[in-house]
Amino acid sequence: MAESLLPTPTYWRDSHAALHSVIGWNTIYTPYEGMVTPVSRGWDFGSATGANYVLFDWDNLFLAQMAAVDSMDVAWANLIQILRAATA
Amino acid sequence: MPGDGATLSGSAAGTTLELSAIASGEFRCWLGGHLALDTGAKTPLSAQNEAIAVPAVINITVPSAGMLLRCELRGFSKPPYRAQLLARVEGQQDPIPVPSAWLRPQLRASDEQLLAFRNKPLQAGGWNTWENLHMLNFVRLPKAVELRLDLVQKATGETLGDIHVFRRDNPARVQPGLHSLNSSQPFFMEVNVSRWAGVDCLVAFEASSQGLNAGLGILVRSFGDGCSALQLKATGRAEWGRPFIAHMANDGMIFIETPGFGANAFIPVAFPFARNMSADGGAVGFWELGDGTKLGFASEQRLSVLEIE
Repeated sequence: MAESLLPTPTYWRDSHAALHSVIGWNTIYTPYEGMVTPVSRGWDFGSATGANYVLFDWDNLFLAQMAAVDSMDVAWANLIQILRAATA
Repeated sequence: MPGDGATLSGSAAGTTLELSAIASGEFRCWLGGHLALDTGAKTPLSAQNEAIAVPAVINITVPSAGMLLRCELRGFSKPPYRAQLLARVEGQQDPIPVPSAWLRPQLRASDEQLLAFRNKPLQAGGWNTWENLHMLNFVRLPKAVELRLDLVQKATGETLGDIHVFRRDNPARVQPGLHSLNSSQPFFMEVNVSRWAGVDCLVAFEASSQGLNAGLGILVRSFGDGCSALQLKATGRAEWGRPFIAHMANDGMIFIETPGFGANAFIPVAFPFARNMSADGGAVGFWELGDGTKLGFASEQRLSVLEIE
């Protein structure tokens, strides 16, 4: 279940809707990774591998932080997958 | 070591690996830590208690050399079990039968916990824009049935293609609006597409689904003198190369059915909008656009535009 960690002050409402929708639009599913949030839907550097999405180092850690405002599930999914992508 | 999987000889990074599975249960294969093949439960549509063998084929590009291929076979309803997995590496003539010793779950317990936790939001499934490249591709999980909308130039038949922000080729203006976050809340989205190929037409899309097992409702409105040059195309099929079956009922309604897991595995998704079967066996329909046109689509049941609104 989505969990809201922070109360939304009145003056945050528009910013909050923007943050919520940005994460919502970019959160996708892929059979390889499960639910993740690529930095941009337009990035398709994975076309050579058939992946068609990009997870990008610390960007996905920031995305996890952004997602945590509205959904710890989305935040954990991103945190787990970008850490699993570690190669060294 | 039996059950630990093995590296396929010749499967260097960038080569294509073809996995073909014939199973009377479910095959899942991981290449490295990535799920590469997922056949879903294989059961005939007419007799759900009797397992049959259905082939599934997938081509994947090997991300890096030396990755282990590990497979899991499960979900048999009754013996005799029929299972065969073949792997063919690009450039090699003959497929390699994968030893049955590999067909065991080999994820470490810690991995299982992580994956279960990661996939928690998906267990309920539901409609969402789960596919990455196209913002008008609605996918219902866990069945992976998709409903894709496209804009088409009437005169040439050219399709706008994948819609996302900051397109570099064949540009159009894409303005995303509000979007729900994941399947733990009712799905909704809104996006406007305009200025394709200089055509004076803005097409506004809104979609919503009120529950995890509810149908999808889509409202499409077009504004501008140039809209009569465009058509809307809607296609129903399975996403990510999953096998699917399309049926046309006596009333003309087309159903898309994919294998899946769990209690909801064999509930077909209906596409009342579709008029024809597409070349690849999916469901497809075309509609004319114009200035002030309002169209409504729904999965599962026939609804009027007013009802969808």
